[in-house]
Amino acid sequence: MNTNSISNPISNGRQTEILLAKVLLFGLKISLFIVTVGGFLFLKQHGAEEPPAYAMLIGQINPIKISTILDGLRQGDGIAFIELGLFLLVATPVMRVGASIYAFAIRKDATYALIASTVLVILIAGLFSTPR
Amino acid sequence: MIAFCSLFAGVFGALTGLGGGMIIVPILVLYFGIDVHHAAGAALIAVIAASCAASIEFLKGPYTNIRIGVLLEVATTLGAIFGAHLASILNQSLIAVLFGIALIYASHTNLDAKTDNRKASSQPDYPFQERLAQNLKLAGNYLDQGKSVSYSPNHLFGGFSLMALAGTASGLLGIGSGAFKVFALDRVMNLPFKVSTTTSNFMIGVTAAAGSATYFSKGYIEPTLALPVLLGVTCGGYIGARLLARMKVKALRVLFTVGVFVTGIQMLMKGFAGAQ
Repeated sequence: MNTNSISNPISNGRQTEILLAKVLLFGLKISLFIVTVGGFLFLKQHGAEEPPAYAMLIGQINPIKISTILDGLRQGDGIAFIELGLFLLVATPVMRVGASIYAFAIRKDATYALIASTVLVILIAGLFSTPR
Repeated sequence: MIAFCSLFAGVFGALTGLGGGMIIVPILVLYFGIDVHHAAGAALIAVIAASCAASIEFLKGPYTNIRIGVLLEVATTLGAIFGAHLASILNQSLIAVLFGIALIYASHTNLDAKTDNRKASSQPDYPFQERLAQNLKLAGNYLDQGKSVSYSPNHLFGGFSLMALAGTASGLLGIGSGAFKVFALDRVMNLPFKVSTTTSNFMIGVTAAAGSATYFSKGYIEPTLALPVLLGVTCGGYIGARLLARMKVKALRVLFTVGVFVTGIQMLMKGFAGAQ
């Protein structure tokens, strides 16, 4: 039923939707690729070991630090690649919000640029609201 | 093994219209003995991927209403961060109980959804909310079988508050809470059903990102767990979406709804057992 979408009269902002879809596709591809690479590296490095006991995770916390990820990447550590990929995946919708700010701004839609910016601020605040 | 189950969850999530998170969290908790926090963290990651993948397709269609989506995201992201913080304070048993309730509720609405062909009831809206919706240019239209369909949301405040609740559920339980979002858009704001489902999906990615960012910073994202769940649900969702096009899923849906209900009871029992 999408056949008529291009001739949709109201959606002069069709380009906005296409732009957002592109951003999402881009982020998704990159993060899934990096995560998969990390998975293979991890299996190569640890595949022969016993599978991890997930039940032991109870109460265990593993805050992910950017510095440790960077160190791990340099050493080709699979886990670090997975962490980077996961991080990029979480960043993908955030980039999408950023792209929508841009899209509203170039259409001089100040109200919605502001609303989208609010969402971005909330997202970033959530990321840095490290407890304790 | 976990990847395999996630694949299964992804396929069924797509077939039944329940998000993958609703299915994968109980599997992880009940059958793999993983604690609720890590299960929810891993599921949120998978939910982001699933939502983004679906959004890419939906955005090419005429239904997603970006303005409504962005506006309500203010509520869902705040809710999600609140829910994620709440999750780290509450103990696991209580979360399991809440999850059980959510599952039972979902199995109930899931059965309802198909029988629902009603025309959007045009209850009168409050003039102020109506004017607000106009000022915010939230109305939209699309072509359906050659006919132009116009719509405008009602009950903005009600929808906004429900979205905050949906976000909280998402952050707390590690689910997309799509059913809840569709309920708010479709039933409360009286939007056309396709606009509701695609716009809900549009918001889920951002909502889950807000929640998982908090899980990240609290250290509840375990890479070796999130990876198989993510890949499984993503592949499963893809397969499921393909199957959906050429399958009669009604019987499957009923069967599966019963399964979700039973799982809900199990989660409740686990929660109560843990509380003692």
